Amino acid sequence: MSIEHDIADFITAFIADRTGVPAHDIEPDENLGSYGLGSMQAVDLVGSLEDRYGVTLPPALVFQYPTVGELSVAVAQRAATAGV
Amino acid sequence: MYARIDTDALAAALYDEVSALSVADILLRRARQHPERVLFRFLDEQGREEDVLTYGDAWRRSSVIAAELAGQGETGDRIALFYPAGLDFIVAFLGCLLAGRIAVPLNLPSRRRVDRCLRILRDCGCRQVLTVAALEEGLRDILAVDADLPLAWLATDTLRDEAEVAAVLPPPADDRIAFLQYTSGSTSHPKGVMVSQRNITTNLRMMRNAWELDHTSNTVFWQPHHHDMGLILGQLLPIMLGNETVLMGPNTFVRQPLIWLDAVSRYRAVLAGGPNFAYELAAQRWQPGRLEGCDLSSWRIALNGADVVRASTLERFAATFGPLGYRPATMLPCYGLAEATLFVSGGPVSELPRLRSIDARAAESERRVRDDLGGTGRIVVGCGLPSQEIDIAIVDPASGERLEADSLGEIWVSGATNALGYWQLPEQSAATFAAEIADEPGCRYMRTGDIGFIGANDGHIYICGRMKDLLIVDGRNLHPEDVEYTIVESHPLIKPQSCAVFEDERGEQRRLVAVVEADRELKRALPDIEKALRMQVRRAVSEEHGVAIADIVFIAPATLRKTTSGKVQRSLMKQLYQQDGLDLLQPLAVSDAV
Repeated sequence: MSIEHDIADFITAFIADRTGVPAHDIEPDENLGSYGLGSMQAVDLVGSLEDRYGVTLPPALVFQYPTVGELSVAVAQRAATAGV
Repeated sequence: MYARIDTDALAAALYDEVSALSVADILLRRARQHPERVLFRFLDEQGREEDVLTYGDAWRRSSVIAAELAGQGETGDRIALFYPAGLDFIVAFLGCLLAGRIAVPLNLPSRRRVDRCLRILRDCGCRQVLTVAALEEGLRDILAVDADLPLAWLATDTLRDEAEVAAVLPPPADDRIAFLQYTSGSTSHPKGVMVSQRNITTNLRMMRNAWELDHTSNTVFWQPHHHDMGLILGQLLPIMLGNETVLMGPNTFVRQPLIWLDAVSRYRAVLAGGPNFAYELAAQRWQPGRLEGCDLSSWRIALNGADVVRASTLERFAATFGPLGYRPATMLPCYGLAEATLFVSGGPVSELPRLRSIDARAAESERRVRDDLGGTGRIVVGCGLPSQEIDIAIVDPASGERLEADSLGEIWVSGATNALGYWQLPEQSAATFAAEIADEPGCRYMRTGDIGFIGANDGHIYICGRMKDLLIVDGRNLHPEDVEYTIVESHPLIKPQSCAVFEDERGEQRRLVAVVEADRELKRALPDIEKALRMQVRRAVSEEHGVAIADIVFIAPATLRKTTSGKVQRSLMKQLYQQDGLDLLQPLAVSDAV
């Protein structure tokens, strides 16, 4: 599996876990805010992505790339440059 | 480090003297006695020390702000405080208190969520705003949507503060209002709790005495300063104690919760805590190899309050961080609310949290607490002994009669820590703050709205739920009627009074559930629009309130239960939901719930 897919699955599972919204209801191109991901959980997500992929991410990343699709591409790029 | 040891004796000497002084007065005495001693350190996003404030700095800077405020407006004016996480807030807050102004600490509004903020500004009749230079322009812009708000702005970090202002004198610890705490009330009807100088002093002393704290009790906090826990515990308690406190922003904690634990270790903290989710998050985000060399053995009190305390979290946290020196008896579940300034019960220290497994059915039908010996009962975590400075009564909310121990009823609190009331709401204030127990005239109690009992064999307070259908999400209060309103507004096919929002607390995580009653039109349209409609409802609720609706259920026309006066019966709908007794329109919705 490509790293992008892995990241997308991780983000989807994270949202399902934190919000209770079933994973199959989470669409790749929908704004994460639509699932009730609050600003606090968005920061939690950034930290969790940092932990898992060993990168440092700007805290506002989720606001810049607010969908599962965009966010996983953005994290994958940063992970690639960080040499993970 | 040597400077701190140097000032320990000086800080200790003030222990008795400050017990009944206003918090600003205490700061003055400590600034005179040990000006060089560190009061606050602020950690940046990476956990590095970014800023330091000594007792002397804090007094000097707040007295300069007070002098500036004294030159404009009048005593008793309400002043809104908009501050980022950092050390600028506390000196502005104390500056207001020193100038006899009423401080109104507020969350930073965003463009989308400015409504609540504007209502509060209007409710308290605020004319003056304090902030920092970096935020002023953006805030002016956001608040400009209400052209009728004539606000004067002051960026307190631009004031020159080389010398203190001699003419500034601290207020006495009397019944004048020190600040308004706007955590109660719904979005549409904000309620500002009026906290007096005496309330603050009383509550700080209650915490100090109950938890056996003093100048050596270093603390680490990350809670936002516009919340009662962050303000009273994180920013004001240190001044009474004369200790050294490490602060960080809420976002720093949420992004990397282990920074919090690392700070406990590095600064040898004795006291640190938060709502239950903080412990859950820290345990969740720990990984093998993280926090190596970290030593949590100095941690004597891990406060757990402002939300339901979960036994599973206590176990998980202890299992995860036990190897780093954390002791299970460190966990100290406590109970409090803004209407009582903050703290009501918790402790004694260094005892294991008390868990009782109670028979939920007996509790519901007879209002009696019976221990469930079969191991299938509902686990309730004790929130400790009430402070010695207050009286707690468990009262039948309908008859107003005092109930005996091990009976379920509403928790009533009496004592000098009870706030003065709600700002400009005399009727609601009287109903909440001036209740009397039947046949016990003359003693005023504050009604908490929380349901619980006092343990017959230990005298500890156990909290079982809320009287009103208040939703508590991550320590934040949310009113179901606000969420229901948003849902109704989110789509034209959802009609007014057709929706019930409640919390499903079964399982590991509490989930918000919305039951939406369809009329015939919606019922017909539903098969085609269901997915989009759910999305729309979730998006609207999330944008407006920042919370997730985990499950959305559509039910048949005319099956939403209401009282004869037309009020939605949320608890009944919740019962039906949990017992699969709803008349569902979409079987698909049920599979979501699993």
